[in-house]
Amino acid sequence: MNLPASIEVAALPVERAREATPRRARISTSKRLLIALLAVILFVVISPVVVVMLGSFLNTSFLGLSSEQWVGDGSDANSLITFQWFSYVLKLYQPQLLFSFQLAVLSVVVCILIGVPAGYLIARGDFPGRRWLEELLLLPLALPGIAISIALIQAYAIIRGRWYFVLFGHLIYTLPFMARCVAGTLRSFDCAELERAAQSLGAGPWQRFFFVVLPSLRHAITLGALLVFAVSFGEFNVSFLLMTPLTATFPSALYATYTFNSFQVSSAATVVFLAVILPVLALIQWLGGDELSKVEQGA
Amino acid sequence: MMATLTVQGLSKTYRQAGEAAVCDFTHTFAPGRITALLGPSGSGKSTTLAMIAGLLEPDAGSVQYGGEDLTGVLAEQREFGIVFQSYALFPHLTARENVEFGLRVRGIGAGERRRRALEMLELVRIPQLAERRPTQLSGGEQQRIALARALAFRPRVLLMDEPLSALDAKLRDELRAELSRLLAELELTTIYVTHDQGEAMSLGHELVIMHRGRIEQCGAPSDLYRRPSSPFVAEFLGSANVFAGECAQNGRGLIVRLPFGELVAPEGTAKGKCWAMVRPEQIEVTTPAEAQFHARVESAFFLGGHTRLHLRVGETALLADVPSHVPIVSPEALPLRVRDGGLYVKN
Repeated sequence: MNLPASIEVAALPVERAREATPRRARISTSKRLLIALLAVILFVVISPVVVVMLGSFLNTSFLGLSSEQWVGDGSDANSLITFQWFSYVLKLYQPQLLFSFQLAVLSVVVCILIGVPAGYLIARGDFPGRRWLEELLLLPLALPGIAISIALIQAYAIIRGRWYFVLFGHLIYTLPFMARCVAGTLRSFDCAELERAAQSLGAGPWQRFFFVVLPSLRHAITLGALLVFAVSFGEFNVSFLLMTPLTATFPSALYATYTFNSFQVSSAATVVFLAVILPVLALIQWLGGDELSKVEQGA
Repeated sequence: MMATLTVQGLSKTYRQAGEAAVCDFTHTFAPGRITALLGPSGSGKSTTLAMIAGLLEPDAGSVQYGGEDLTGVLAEQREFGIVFQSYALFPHLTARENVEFGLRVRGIGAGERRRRALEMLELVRIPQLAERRPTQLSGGEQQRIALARALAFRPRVLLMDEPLSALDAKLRDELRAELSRLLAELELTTIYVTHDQGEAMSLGHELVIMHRGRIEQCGAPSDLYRRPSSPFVAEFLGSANVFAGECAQNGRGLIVRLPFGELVAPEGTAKGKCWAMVRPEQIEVTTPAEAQFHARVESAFFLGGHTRLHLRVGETALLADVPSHVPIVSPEALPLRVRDGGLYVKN
């Protein structure tokens, strides 16, 4: 019989495990504490989002949790889950949603056209006042949005109420993000040396820009574009203060739902907002926090 | 017939620095040969190269190729290939696309471009890495690609700025040997900037030694090694014992008085103040009877074939390289002599 041998073999790991236990236990205690702390933080941060999400489709009056009366067509009055608030929000605030979307896309386009060269000038330019230009570009991020809005209204009262006035307001906030992304990337490697190499190979200024500089910046420009989109789409201060009925953005519509409408409607509107913005934020996160943190440091 | 690259009175002073980075650099570069621009860091060699390349505007002077004045011509129109110390490969392009770059901006079709790029990669012996990106390659491989890229568009002149200094020693020797073979094959006028005298002497057909923005001396490496024009060149190229001395007449003829003794002056030396150079390998251990001087051995470093001795004669320190098999019998007073022809004196 081989039994004794197998017992011996089996006993060995047990012994090792006993030796290792105290150390492992200490680690797991601190780990457990950390996990608990994380759970608390996550709970505090996420629960409002969860509440809003639940509120957007759960029929609270059906549950008996609320006496709030939703004046709809009443077809969903007796079901637990309802999407009637979504259809209401999408129908009522469609122009604002569309306008915000257009503004964000236009902001991205203009930021690429202006912010990329600006970032290039900041990082690579050799002219007096270069530092000043950089500071000037970052200034709006340090000022309260309300102050800027009031200044804009006073300075350009004549174009108040035009869509491009709101776009202009957004650009003041979004350009720094694009410019910093581009400048930060340009500073992270020796772009000047690459340009010299291209020059020695016979590339003129435009060829250098399009064949060397721009391709090196594609990551930064993508990240910058996403940031610009997110900032523009979510921007409230300028949008709200420059707003006229025709130029209301979705965030100001969101505000309106909280002021004038039921919790369910504003929850649905918030979820619509999150549905647009969360994928963009996820993409930004995925593309790399490096450039983002540089932008934040600059701001 | 290859045209000649001539540089005339090239000067540059940077705004921040008071002293000129390069002052009155004049030289005719031998066509089809390698000229090594050698000097310590800050001697102005890279600045000179940048001005020849057209990447830096000179304050004064001209650059001519054949009969053509290139002084005001943009770098992109000079048709000079450059290899940078940092390689400067385009990170978003593959090795092959990097090599193709110079052909692409000249509007050469994709097929022809590809053929020539692969030919170049073949030349630098890494055709198998054509589709890799620079970040996936080692320093040595990157430098090969940088070389292939600089050669692909068939430049008139090749400029290399410390191309091997970012590599480790073993790889550097390997690439240096290959570079020497390749450049000899191509017969391309090449300017090779380096601070490494070994690299300069082994690669350069001609050396231009720079010091504080000026040309100190130029010529064939062996000439410069044997007949340096100044103590700076003597000490910069290899190791040297350099002394101030005086040449005088005595009963036996002309002698040179040096801090460690008196030696017979080489032919052609004039009376009066002079400086003298003895290379460490020109000092040999001898018998007490034939000794010209005795020195105390302060330390000895075994270097394989030879041993480097740090010697002292009174206040004077000397270096000597002696064959390792020679025994050091009396380290307190080692009998030594300078080999015949080993003393170089300049007034």
